[in-house]
Amino acid sequence: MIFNTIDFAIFLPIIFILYWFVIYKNILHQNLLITISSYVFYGWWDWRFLSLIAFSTSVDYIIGNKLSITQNKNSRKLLLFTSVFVNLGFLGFFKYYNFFLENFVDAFSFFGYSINSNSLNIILPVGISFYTFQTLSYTIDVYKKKIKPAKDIISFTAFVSFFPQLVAGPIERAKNLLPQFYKKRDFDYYKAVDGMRQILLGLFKKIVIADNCAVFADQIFNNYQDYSGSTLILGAILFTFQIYCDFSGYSDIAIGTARLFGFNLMQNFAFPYFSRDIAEFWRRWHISLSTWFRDYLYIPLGGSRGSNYQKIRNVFIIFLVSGFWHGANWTFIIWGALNAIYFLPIMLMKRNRINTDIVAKDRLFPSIKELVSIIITFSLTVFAWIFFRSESVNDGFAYLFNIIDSSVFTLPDLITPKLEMIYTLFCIIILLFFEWKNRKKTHALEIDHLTKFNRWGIYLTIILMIITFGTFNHNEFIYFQF
Amino acid sequence: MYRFIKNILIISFIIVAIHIILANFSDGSTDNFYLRFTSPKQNSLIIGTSRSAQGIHSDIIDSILDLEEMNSIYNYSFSINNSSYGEQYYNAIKNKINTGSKNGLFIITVDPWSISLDTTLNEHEIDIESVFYSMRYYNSSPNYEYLIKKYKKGWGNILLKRLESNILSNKKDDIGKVNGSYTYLRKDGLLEVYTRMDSSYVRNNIQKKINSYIKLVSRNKFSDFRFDYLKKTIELLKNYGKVYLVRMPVHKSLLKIENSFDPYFEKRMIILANNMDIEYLDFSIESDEYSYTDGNHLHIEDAKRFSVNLSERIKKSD
Repeated sequence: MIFNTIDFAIFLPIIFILYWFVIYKNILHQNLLITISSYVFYGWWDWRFLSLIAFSTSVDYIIGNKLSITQNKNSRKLLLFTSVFVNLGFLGFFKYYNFFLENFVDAFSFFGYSINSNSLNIILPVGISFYTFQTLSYTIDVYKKKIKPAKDIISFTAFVSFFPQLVAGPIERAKNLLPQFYKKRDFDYYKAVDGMRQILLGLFKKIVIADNCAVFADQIFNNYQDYSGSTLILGAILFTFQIYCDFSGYSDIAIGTARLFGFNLMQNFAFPYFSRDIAEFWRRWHISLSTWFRDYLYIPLGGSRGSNYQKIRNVFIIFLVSGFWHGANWTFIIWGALNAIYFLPIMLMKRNRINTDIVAKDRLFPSIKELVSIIITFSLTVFAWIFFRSESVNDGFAYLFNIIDSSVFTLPDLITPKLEMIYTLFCIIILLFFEWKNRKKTHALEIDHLTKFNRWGIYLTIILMIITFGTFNHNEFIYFQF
Repeated sequence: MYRFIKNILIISFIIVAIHIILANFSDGSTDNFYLRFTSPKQNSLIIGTSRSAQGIHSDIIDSILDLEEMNSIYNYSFSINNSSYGEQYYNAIKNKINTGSKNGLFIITVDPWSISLDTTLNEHEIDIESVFYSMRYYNSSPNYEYLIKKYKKGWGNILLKRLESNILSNKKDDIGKVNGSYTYLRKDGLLEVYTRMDSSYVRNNIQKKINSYIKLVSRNKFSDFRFDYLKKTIELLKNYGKVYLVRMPVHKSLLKIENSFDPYFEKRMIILANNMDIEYLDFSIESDEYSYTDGNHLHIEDAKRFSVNLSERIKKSD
């Protein structure tokens, strides 16, 4: 089921009413309802892959409990290895099998050996990268004795399959989310209202900005040979907003939906395009994944300690793995490598933590220096997104070479239909205005300080903008494929 | 909790009310298909893909063939992705015919693509992306089912498109500069397309079309499934009036691709027409006499000329 469909608009109120009116007295029943509705939510896409989630859940539940009673170091390691093997095994097979096979065959043919390969027609289960990482973090934390294992399988199943964040995150840590399933949830009006606001914001980002940007970005990226350099830059900028609004929009809807049921999920995006350097960008972009890699990969590798060689190695590993996590394509690996290259000089000069606070904290506008830093950082990310969006590495380079042309100094073509292009750009400006205004808050529509009249005015304006400018072609969220 | 529910209900009510109001503004500017799902059942139809949707003017045929208002012909052509011959289009046609009439006129346009199939598709995947898929209501106005299931934009866009149409309808000659292109679906089902017609732009469009057809050649092949449904469609329509099988003109470069894609097409159509006892009118040999927006679609003025020629040929064959 996808958030921006009528199916979900019917599904959500039904679950909400059952949850708060029918079984509100019993946590076990509420958790059971969440589990069943999560499986229905996921099965709506393809019920066959429910068995994968169920299997992964069972393995990690059993291993978690075994870990709590096993003291022998080697046995504990074996248990951890089993969980990692099962989870990454599924991920590797479904996501990377064909990639490795094709590259293996290519490598052999490069050296003059011809081998037969049997690539498989594998369907990538939606959200497998997300729930795999969520359950993995649970087992690793239990292994490290940071958390106690789940005793109640219903709560644990609900934690793994929690429908708001099952298919595209935020990738929650057991430490944060699992205990919330043990406690009684009371309906909190202000929390629910803020949840609805965040859902509204997420729908605006996805339906109005991301899906409209997609129309133009697709057109430009698919026919890059036909456009001027300046139009190609516009295409890359439109994709930059498409991916941000698509993914952060999903996170907003997920976090908002969870709040309706009394749960708090972690913030996943913190206005990343206002970052002043690439290190700050990565503290604000896809926070749940960045911190996952930091805690379970970067720090165990030594982090920013050790010799320069080790530091460089660790940065490259984390960014390349992050790129590869997004998809089995060299384009994602190049995207990761580019970000590593951006990040390295800042880290080696020990300037990666100079921008930890909000930009222009007590001011309305940024200083010239801050503005220049924001523009440079934004430009670097736009440049990297070109590879992320391209179908192949060759396409990515060809796109770049087409930009380097005298036509880059001309005005970009307004792609037809021009009117839609104009209002899409207008909606991006509106979003940036709200984001800038509320950059100290957790989301751009946290407007509870305003008067009731102004709040309702804003709600109705956004609803009218969704109704008027929205695209309802039920496009899946981009991150479903990762 | 009750305060929350009350507020949600108020917002829901406002949203539903706005949508009901907006649906009533729908017209030919809404999208390229909507109006054809709102017209009443028809006695006479033009069947086919976007070639006939843009290329056959119903009003010209009505006037030359003296079709009475009751029998005036309605353009019920869509596009290659939606109205290739198959179960979905067949059912849509069945739902559009006035079964009480026996004196209708039916122009069925054919080309090699509309009886071909993507070889990568499984049987159950055929036409699931079609605009007719899962539709039940074909003749209601406003058609809420269509707007809910098939309309790709927020319903406020209906109003926006209407306003845009009011502005652009006066600037059709300069449409390239103003908006790039502009389409309007007329009440008789004809899709008016206004676009730039300067030679470099058209040449570029033709080249794009050639490229997309070359892709089609490698992906598609003649389909017995579609051909059987073409036969079924003819059989169905013959019950309600006279049927003509028509091959429309296309740019010579596309015609060459078509003929190499299905060299037996012409023969197949002649045999089909003979077997079904209907007339086959081939206009592909007149390709050079018309101008096209992209090689595939007649320019609106040439479409008028073609409609006159088509009507004359039908008149002669009577």
